[in-house]
Amino acid sequence: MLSVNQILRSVRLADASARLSFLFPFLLCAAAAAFWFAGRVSAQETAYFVAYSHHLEEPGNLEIETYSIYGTQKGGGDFVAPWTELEYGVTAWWTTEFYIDSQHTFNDSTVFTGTRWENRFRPLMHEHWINPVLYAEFENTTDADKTLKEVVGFDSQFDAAEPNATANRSHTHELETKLILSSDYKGWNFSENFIGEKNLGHEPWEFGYALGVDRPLRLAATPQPCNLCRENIILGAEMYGGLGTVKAFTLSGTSRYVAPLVAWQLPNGVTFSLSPGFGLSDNAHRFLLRWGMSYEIGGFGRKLRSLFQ
Amino acid sequence: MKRLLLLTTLLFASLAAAAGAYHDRDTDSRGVFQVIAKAPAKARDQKNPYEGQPDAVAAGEKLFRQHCAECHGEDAQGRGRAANLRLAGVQNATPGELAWFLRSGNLVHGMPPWAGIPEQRRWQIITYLKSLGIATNSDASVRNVGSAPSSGRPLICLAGHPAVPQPWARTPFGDSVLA
Repeated sequence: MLSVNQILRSVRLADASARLSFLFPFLLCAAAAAFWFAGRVSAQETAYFVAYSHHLEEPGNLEIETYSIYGTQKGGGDFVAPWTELEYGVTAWWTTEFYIDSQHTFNDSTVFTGTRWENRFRPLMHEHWINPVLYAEFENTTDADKTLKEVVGFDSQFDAAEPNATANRSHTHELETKLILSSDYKGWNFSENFIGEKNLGHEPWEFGYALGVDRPLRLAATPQPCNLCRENIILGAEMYGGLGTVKAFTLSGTSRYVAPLVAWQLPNGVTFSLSPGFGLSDNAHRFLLRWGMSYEIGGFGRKLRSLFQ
Repeated sequence: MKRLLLLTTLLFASLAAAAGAYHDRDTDSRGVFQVIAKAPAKARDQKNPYEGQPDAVAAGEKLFRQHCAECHGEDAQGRGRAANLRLAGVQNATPGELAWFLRSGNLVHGMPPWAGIPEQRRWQIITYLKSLGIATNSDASVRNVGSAPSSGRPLICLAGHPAVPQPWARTPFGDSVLA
C-alpha cells in the first residue's frame, strides 16, 4: 500500500514530467525555426557563463542557447540543472533575453524551476576604455533553482541541499540588477560585474560580483575557412561570489568560485562552451561543471517581419 | 519615484538628442560620411598593417561573410538601413577612420561596435573592404545609395536630376532602394 508521501511524490514527478513534456515541443519548434531562419553569422561573444561583457546581441539576431550545470552537493544529492536562453538584439544598444530553468537532483526528482526575463542596455553610444552596461532581470523561480547563474549575499551550497519537494513549493520573485563594466585590450576581454539582487518579498538587498577574462588563441584570421583552428577557440577564466547583504556587506561567510573556461566558435554560428568550476570557500559547492551550446540566427527579426508583409 | 522618472526622461531625451544631432548619410568635403569622418585625428592617421596583402583580403572576406554580410549583403552593397559599403562615403575614408568606426559602431543608427573581435581581424576586414573599390553610378546593382561626395545627394538621382535639392537627402527616402 502506498503511503501519503509516496503518492504526493509521484504526483509531483508527474507534474514535473508534464512540464518538461510541454518544453519538448517548444524546443523542437525552436530548432525547426532555427533551420528555417538559418543565416550564417558569427557573433563577437565572450566565453563566459556567469560574467557579462559589454558586447550585446547584434540587432535583429536571435541566439538560442542551451546550457547545463552539474554540481556536487554536501548533505544531498548531486544535481544537473539545464536552462534554455532565447537572446534577441532589439537594437544595437538593447538586448533582451528569456530563460527557462529546470533541474534534476540525483536520488530526488526532476523539476521545472521557473523563468527569467533579462534586459541589458548600453547607456554610452561609443566605445571607451571601460564600457558600462546596465542590466535588469525579473526572476520568477522557486527555491529549487540550481542554475547558479549568479551568486549573491550569503548563498551557500547548503541552500541547495533542501529536497525538491520542499524547495519547489517556495516561489520567489526577484529583481536582479547589475552594473557591467567591460574592456577590450589587444584581443583580451576584461569584465567586472557588480550585482544587486532584491527579493520582492521584503528581503534585504543582496550583493555579489563576477569577474571574467578571456582571449581567442589566435588573434588574426587565416585566409582559409576552418572549423578546428586556433582562431575559433577562446580560453578564459571567471571568478564569482557573494558580497553579503545591505545589512552586512562583507566577503566573510560568502561562497566564492573560480572557473577556467573554453569555447569553440564555429563560423556557422554554433558555439560549444565548457567550464569546470571550483569552490574556494567552505560553503561553496566543491565542484561545478558547466557546458552548453548556442546557435545564432542572423537577421531573425527581418525574416520574421517578412513573413507578415 | 519622481527622481527615477526624471532620470528615465533625461536618458531618453539625451538618446533622442544624440539621434537627431546629425543625419548618418551627411558627408564631409572628401565625400566621407560624417559618422566616419568624425574619427579623432589620432585614429584617422593609423596605417593598416595588412594593406595590400592578398592573404589579408581573403581573410577579410571570410570575416566579412561571418560578421557583416547578414546586414550589408554578400556583395557589401547594403540592405535596408545598412549602408552600401562600396559608396564613396565609405571607400574615401582612411583605413584609420574605418578602423575607428568599426570599433565604435553607430549605436543610435543600428551599427553595433565590433570591438569584441580582435584588432587584427578588424584590419583584415578593412583590407577586404578597400579592395572592393567604389561602385560606379552605372553599376546596375547599386542599392541603398547614400550620398555623392560633397553634395549630400543620393548618387542614383544625380544622373537624371542634377538639381535635386540638398534637403531631399535628409528625408526617409534618402536611403531607399531606388535602382
